[in-house]
Order: sequence, then C-alpha cells, then structure tokens
Amino acid sequence: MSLLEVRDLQIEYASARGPFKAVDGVSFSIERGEIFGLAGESGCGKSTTAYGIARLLRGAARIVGGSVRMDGVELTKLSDAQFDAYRWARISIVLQSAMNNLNPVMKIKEQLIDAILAHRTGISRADALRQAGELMELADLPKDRLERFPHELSGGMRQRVVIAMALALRPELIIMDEPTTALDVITQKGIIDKIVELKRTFGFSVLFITHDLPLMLEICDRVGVMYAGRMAEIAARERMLAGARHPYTQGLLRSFPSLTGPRVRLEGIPGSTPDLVAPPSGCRFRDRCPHALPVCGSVQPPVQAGEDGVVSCHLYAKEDALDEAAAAGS
Amino acid sequence: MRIQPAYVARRVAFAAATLLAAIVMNFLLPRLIAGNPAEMIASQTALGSPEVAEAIKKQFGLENDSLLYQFKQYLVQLAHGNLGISYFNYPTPVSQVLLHALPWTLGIVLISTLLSYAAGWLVGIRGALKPGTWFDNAALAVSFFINSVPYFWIGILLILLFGYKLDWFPMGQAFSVEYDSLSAAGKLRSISYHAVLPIVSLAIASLASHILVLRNNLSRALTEDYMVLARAKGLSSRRRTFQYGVRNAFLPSFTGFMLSLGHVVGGAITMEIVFSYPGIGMLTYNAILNHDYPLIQGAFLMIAASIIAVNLLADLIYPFIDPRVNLD
Amino acid sequence: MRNNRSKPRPRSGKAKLWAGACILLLFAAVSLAAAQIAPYPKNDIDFEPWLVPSAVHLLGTDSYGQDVFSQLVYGTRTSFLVGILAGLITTIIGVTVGVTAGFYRRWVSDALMFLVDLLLIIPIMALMIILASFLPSMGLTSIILVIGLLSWLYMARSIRSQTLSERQRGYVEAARVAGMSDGSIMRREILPNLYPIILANLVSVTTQAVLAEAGLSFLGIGDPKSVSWGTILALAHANNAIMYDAWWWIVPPGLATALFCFGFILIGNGSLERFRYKRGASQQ
Repeated sequence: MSLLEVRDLQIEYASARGPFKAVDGVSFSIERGEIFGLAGESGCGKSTTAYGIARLLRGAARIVGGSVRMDGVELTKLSDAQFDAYRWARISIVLQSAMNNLNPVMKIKEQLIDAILAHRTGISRADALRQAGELMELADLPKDRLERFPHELSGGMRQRVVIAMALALRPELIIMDEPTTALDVITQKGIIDKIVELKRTFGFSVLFITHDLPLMLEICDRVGVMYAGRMAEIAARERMLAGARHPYTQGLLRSFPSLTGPRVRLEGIPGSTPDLVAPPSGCRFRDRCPHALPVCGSVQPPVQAGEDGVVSCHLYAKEDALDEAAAAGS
Repeated sequence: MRIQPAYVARRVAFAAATLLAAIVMNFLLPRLIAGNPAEMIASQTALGSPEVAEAIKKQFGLENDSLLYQFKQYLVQLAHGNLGISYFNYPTPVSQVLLHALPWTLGIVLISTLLSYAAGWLVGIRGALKPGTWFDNAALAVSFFINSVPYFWIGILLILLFGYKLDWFPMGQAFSVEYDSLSAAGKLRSISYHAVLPIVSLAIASLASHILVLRNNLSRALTEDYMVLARAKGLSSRRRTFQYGVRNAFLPSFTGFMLSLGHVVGGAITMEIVFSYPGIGMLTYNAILNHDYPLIQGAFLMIAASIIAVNLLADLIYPFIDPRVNLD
Repeated sequence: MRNNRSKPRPRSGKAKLWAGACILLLFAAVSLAAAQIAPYPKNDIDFEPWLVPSAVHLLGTDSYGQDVFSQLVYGTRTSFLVGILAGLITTIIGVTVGVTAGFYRRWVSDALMFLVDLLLIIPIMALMIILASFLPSMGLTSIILVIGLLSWLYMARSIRSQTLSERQRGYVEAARVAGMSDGSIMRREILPNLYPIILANLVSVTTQAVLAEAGLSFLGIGDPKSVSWGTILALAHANNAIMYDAWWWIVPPGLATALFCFGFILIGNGSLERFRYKRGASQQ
C-alpha cells in the first residue's frame, strides 16, 4: 500500500466573483521513501493541494470532495483532535524560504523543542533540548545557534533550521513547498543535497513542490505536473527525462535551460492560464496547446494510467475511451 | 539581553535633538508670528512693575535686536531653569507654576494610558481571534465612534452622568475643599476619588486607537508563515495564539503606545479644563485666557520635555522586549 | 473536511460609499443653506434661557436664550469648512513630501524626514496651541492654516515608507528604462499604487481636523466670531450646562462631529473595499 493516496481531491476557494475550484479532481499517490514532485506554474493549485493534505488551508479555502488516505486512514474525515496525532509526528512541512516561517521573537531552541514537547508527553525539557542539539547536527548547524534568534541567522541557515525542525518527530511524510526559492544557487545546492541525504538516512517520503522543473527532475523519483487545478501528467523521473507526453509538460520543459544538456533556445508557453471562476469546457490547456484537436474544446480529456504513468490528454486517448468521453459529453 | 552602548547613545542623541527642536520652535514661533516679543514675554503692563520687566528683558537679551544673541540668552536662562515670570501668578516664576501642575497631569495621563492600553489589548485580541463576530463588530463600531468625537465631550458626558445625575463621583477638582485638614490616608483617598472620572474619561477616549492597532497587528501576525508552521507542528491553540501571535503583535504596538502618549497629553489638556483639574492643561487654558505668554511657552516646553523623556525611556526599555532591535 | 465556517465574501463597498456620500452631502447642504434651514437667525438671543427641547425649539435654548438647533446648523458650516479645507491642505503637503522624500533618497529628503520624526514626538495639539495663541488674531482662515499646516507629519511618514517599498517594485524600474521622467513616474506609476494609503490618511486627517478645531475652540483660541460645534461645547461648559442638566446643549454637537467623521470613515472604508474588490476581480 502506498503511504499516501490522494483521490479526486477538490478544494474550493471563495472569491470576489464567486467560488472556484483551485484543485479540481487531483489524484496521485506517494510511496514510502519516495520523493514525489508536484510542478506547475504559480496558481495551478500545487501548493493548495499540499496544504489541503496537511489540513492547513486558510480562511477562504476548503476541501469539498475527494479523499486523502495515509496508511489507509481517511485524513479528511478525522476530527481536529484526531488529526493532531498526525501533525508534525507523521506529516511535517517546510515552507518557502522566502517567507518568515520562524517566529522572530523566539530563540531557535524554543522553536525546535516546542513541537517535541507538544507531542511527546513525559519527555523532560532537558531531553528535548538534547534532541534539539542532535537535530542541529543533522542539519550541519553549529549547536550554539540554538541560543540565537532567527534574524541572527542567514537565510540558508534559517532554512536548515526549518528542515531540522521538520525532522524533529521523525515523520513519514515531509511536505516541502518551494524550500529553496530565494536562496542563492550554492546555498540551494547544499540544502537540496542535505534533504536527499537525510531522506536516505531516515527513509521518509517527500512531497516536493516547486516551479523549478529541472531541479525537480534532479531529485524526484516521480513527478506530477499540474495545470489550472488539474493533474496533466504524472511520470517517473526517467520517463520525463526521456520526453514528456503532455503538451503542457513539454512546453514547461522547454522553458527552462537544461543544466546538463546542450543549450537550446528557451521557449515560454504563449497565452495565460484560464479563469477558474468560469473554467472553459473540455481541456483547460487547449487555448495554449499547439496540438489542440477539435474534441479538446468540448470534452474533458480522460485520465489514462499506464506503464508510462498517468496522462490526461486527448492525444493519447485510446479510441474507445475517446468515444466514451464524446458520448458522455454530447 | 544586554544593552549596547551605541544604541543608548543613539537614542539619547535623538531625544536631545528633539528637545532642541522643541526649544527652537518655542523660541522662534512667537518671534515670527507675533510682532514684538518683548511686549509678550516681558510686558510692563502685565507685570505691573517696570523694574521686573526691565530685568526680564535683560535676562532674555530682548534689548538686543540680534536673534542669535536672544537665542543664546534664552538657552542660558533655560539652563538655569528660568522660563520667565508668569503674569497671572505674579511674582511666581513660570517654572515653579509648572512644576506644581505637572504631577497632576502626569498622574492621570500615565494611569489612563496604562488602563486603556490594557483594555485595548483584551478587546483587540479577542476581536482579531474571532473576526466578524458580534463582539468584534461592536468593538470596531465603538472604536470608530470614540475616534470621531472630541476627547473633552466624553468627559462632559461622564460628568453629566456619573457626577451630576448619579452623584457617584465629584464633578471636578483634584481634591475636596477640606483637603488641608485631612490625614495622609484621607488625602490619598480624596485625590483618588477625584481622579476616577478624569482617568476613566481619558482612558475611554484613547481606548479606540489601542483596540484598532492591536487588532490589526494581531490579524496581520496571524496570517504570517510562522503561524501556519505552528499549526502544522500541532501546538496547542493557546500556545499558538500567545507565543506566536500575540507576542509578535505586541512589539509594534509598543512603539504606537508611546507615540499615542502625545495624543493623550493633547487630549488631557482639554480634559483637565472639563474637570477643572489643576494640571498643565488647566494652566494652559488660564494662561490663554489671561494672555500669560510666558506661561503658555513654558507649558509647551514642559509638555514637550515630558513626552520626550517618556519616549526615551520607552526606547531604552524596547531592546529588553524585542530581540531584534539592537541590530538595526 | 468539516469546516462549516461561512466563507468570507469580499464586499464591493458600494453600500458604504453611498451611505458615506449621503451623510457628507447632508452636511454640505446644511452648511450651504444654513440660513434657510435654521429656524432662527444666528446668535439670536430673543428667547428664554434654558428651555427644554420642544416643537418650537427642537434642541431647546442655551443660557443666553439662543436656539441650540439654529446654532448647531450654523456651526456645521465652520466645522465642515475647517474639516474639508484643512484636511485637503494636510493631504496635499503630506503626499507631496512623502512621495518626493521616498522617491529621492538624497540627504535633503533624509534630513527632512529626520526632522519629521523629531516633530512627531511633540504633541500636535500643544504646537497648535502655541501657534494659535501667539497669532495676532484668529479667523477662520488662520484656524484652517494652523491645523492644515501642522497635521501632515504623520501622513508624510506613512506615505514615504509606502513609496520606498513601491520604488523597489519592477514597474518603476521598467518605467525608468522606458524613458519616463521622474515626475511622471511619481505621478503616473507610483501615485495610483498609493491610492489606498492616501485615502486612509485623508479620512483620518479630515476627522482629526474637525476634532482639532473643536479642541482649539474649546480652549478659547478659535475664531471668536464664528459658531462651530467646538464653540457651542465650549460655551455649554463655560456656562455650567451640566448643572442645569442641559443635555440638549451638550449632546448634539458631539453627535454631529461623530456623524460627520462617520461619513468620512464610510467613504474611506467603502472606497478601499471597492479598490480591493476591483483589483481582486482583475487578478483572479
């Protein structure tokens, strides 16, 4: 059984012009010890998906359908008190480094141990502090930084603290939402290497979110690409590197310079993402798609799972599936 | 947390610069807008004695036309605590009149500020934690209302209600008529009893801005990333609210708290008039009525100096509460 | 997920704008047509003093035998004028100083802002008192000027800090590359982005101006010839209205300031909501 199973997840936002689904029927799974990447342009719903899984959605957003199962337990049905057992102990999160995810008025050590003390009843403060010291070592941070305040640390160090913090209770799943954006390339490299190394040591799974597809293809075992609230394609790293199938993924890959391959001309994808309050019928990518078919305008592309992964595009639809979809759409 | 000497030096220098600015304005403004400064600061008719008028003119260098010389003399006299002689309280020097009045004003201003700050905290925090509830909406409506009426009007209404109609508290003055014959405890009781309405009025009048500021600060802090992380960590809502939210909301409000003192002192001036309370405000009012220019100037300087002192104090306390301040 | 909290729905702000505009229009109409609306002439002392409110005297009479309602109507003109004009002067100075000081980070503007920081500590009320009491005579113009010229400090500071952060944004750099002059970058690029903060400040300085006029009049350094909400309260207090239980002399002027300021607050909040609503709609 997979560690995490997301099925047909739907998350709705209230907006000035009415509700819209930022996440509309997204399904994927994460295996134990796997780094699963979620990519896509900003606003495609990748972060909302992650926050939905961790039940951290703010004010205007809520889950309206679908299921999230961890070890077979339906997370969306748990009460807040029941879900507390999952918070940090089984699912922890590392937020964007660009923002301040450390409390500016508390010392590092306080912030490292408060999660430990909140979950491990019966542990002494001294023991928690010792554990905090070990966590610092794990993240290659000098122990004296425990006594410091966040503003006294560099951006890279702060992010290492957050990663150390995420490991505090040895969770099975760590959600990482753009963990290295806004850091310089060298710091970024160091932190990514650290994450991979720690994953090997502790065997946790990672849901890795970024818009940086090349970075993702470097470290993720499998990658899901989202577009306008839907999953466009899921494929193993090797399959993606060999050539993506969905036209959107292809476009996305072309808009980044390859780190290793030959220099190619960068191509952005012309056009802009559709309005989610009144989403277009059929395929949401069709207006920007260079291979759009007549059917794309009316019928939502079926999700097709196979050995190569999952793709949601009419170009790869089996004949019968297409007929079925057309029949349902008309 | 240790205090860095450089920080202290910077804050003291800033306070000194502010005081200098106040002094310069106090010196310059009357000379710029009113024709003859000598007639205003050392009026022979007002003082009733040509000798005294001459002496004051000499002290302040008014017989000399050079503005620079006058300023130098002014600073010298200031350094000796000489602010001239009050016309109305002749022959008492201005400084002495002011020193008698200052404790009354400081007393009601400081106590009412602390009270309204504390109350603003409770209301503002509750509003920010439960936005959109009837409590929050009512608090916002009351705050806007209080912000839209003159300070002194609130005082008048409270006197009308609790002084005149209900007769719970005295309608004015700082102590009863038989004050001098009272024991020490009796004096204290009399003073406290008389101070209740002025303090409550000032506290209500300044409550609104505290509520709004704290509510805003906390609402903003609650949307920060560290709040999301605190929730993800599974911390109790109590710890999230206070250690993560309120502590961060408190810090910016502290500076606002100090800035608001200026407002409260401004409000206290008219509030004292309403209550015939013998502080700097009442003094200023009488000085204006009697064209007692030396006293008006002195009162301004006294108000400015007190506020600067309180601000300096706040600046020096601040590093103890906010770990970030010593860096910048 | 069990999240039954009702979804917060952004408001369009239209209702608030309308309500605010109605209140302000009412005050404007009253100040323009004061002579037609007031039942009795200004400062008419032909009546019995201390009359309680009745059909003849809606808000009773004061200790001089003046009709309080008529005085209130005439007072509206002064308070309205002072609020609007002083608020406008303050806003113009505050925006100009704030934007230029934020845009040009040269020593002149830095020194100016340092001075502003110094002066901010000194209570404005005290400054106004010293200025007003030394002026040879206080007319309506002097009051407006004293209030308008002394109240811009806080506004300049808040606008400057916003300008500083706007300047970091890409669009300013883009406009500069496109060859726009500094003046038009400030006017056409930065200023529109400052709209919400200017508006919030405008509302607060206008209400502050009305309250400052009331305070100065109460202190006896307003315009002795004109009637304002502040002078009515000052007279009520000086003539022991409390001892006569003359609430009709005390309560209405305060409520008038409250209603006036409320109108402004409604306009301010309403246009902020409108601004966000339109922005939100275009960004989603």
